[in-house]
Amino acid sequence: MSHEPFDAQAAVHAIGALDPAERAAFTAHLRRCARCQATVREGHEALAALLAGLPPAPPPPEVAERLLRRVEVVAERRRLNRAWLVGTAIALAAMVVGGLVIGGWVAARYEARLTRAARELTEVRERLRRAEGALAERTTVAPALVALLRDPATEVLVLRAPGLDPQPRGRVVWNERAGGYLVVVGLAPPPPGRAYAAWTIRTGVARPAGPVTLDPQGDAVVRIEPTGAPVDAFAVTLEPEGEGPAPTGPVVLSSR
Amino acid sequence: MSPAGAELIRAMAAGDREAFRRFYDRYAPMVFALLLRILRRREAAAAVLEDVFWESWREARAYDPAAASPEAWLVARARDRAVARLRASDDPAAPGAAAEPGAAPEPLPVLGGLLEWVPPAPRHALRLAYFGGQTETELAELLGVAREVVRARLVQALESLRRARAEAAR
Repeated sequence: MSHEPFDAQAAVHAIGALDPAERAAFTAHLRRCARCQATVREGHEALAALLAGLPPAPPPPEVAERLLRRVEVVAERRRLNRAWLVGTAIALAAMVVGGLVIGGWVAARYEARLTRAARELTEVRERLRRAEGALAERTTVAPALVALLRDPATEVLVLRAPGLDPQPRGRVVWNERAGGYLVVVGLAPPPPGRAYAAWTIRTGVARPAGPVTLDPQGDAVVRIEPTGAPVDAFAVTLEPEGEGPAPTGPVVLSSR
Repeated sequence: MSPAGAELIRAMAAGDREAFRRFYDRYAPMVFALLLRILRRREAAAAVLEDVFWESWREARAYDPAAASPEAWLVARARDRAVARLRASDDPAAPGAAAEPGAAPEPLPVLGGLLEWVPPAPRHALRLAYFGGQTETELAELLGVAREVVRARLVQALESLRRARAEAAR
């Protein structure tokens, strides 16, 4: 298609005389066509040159006054906007810094809390491990005790605190041939640096039968190995830690 | 065409209010003459003049000196605004008759200069289209000729002006 019709359209467009529908279509073409853009540009320049030949007409002075006032107002608004922007930027920066400080503080607090929680968890695990150990021990002790009790030669002796307290505080299930178990219930924890110790007594001589280690409830089960001879009595004493060959501390429980 | 005018627009884009004042002083009389010729009423012409220069201040940043001289930039804008206002009035064929009753139309200054280079029929069509805001179809009806004839006259008018301008620049 020849470009000639567009050249004519460009000239009429520069004058501003295209009919509305044609103007819309031509404007779309103009955006892509450098040649038509040049024609319109030259047309505008020619028309502007034509007007330069018109006698100038001084406009009413109030137009200039109004325009300069409007320009001042806008400049003032821009200054205020700039000041507002600076203020806002400072406020935002303060918010960011504040946020970082608070965030850091919160993070530190949570870190401390997490550390504490981790420590508590470790403690709980340790307690659980000990409880599991104790339970396992009792599950092995229980069938052994039942087996012992089935034996007619087995006797059960009551352990009491010395003095007037009649309440049994423990028992010894004892079989001369197979040995037995010393069971204590609800003993107070030993004072620091002391420990409970079990003894077998024969002909007035006490022989060590092992440490009595309490669980958190104050209970303990101590295996007592057979002595190879009859035992007259069983006792629990409070000894300095690192039990010696003979009792030195007070008797806490006795089968007598 | 007018580097000084382009300099002023650049300064306006940077917010130079003094440049705007000088720009207005320099071009407002030419633009106002065009607006008076189209609108024929001082009040209407003054209102459009204010709009056109206000837009030039606000859009100074978009001005491209390679695309238009300051005169062409202002004149194209002013002519479009004035014709739009003219056509928005009740009787576009009789501009000024419906608006501002009581105010006498401005006497039209005689066009001379470059227009003398344009043959009579194209010159007449150009005056009706450019200053009267008539479209090709309206002109065809008004002049009782085919639309193609109007187009040929307008093209010839602009070509004559373009040649005259080139001659004058020599």
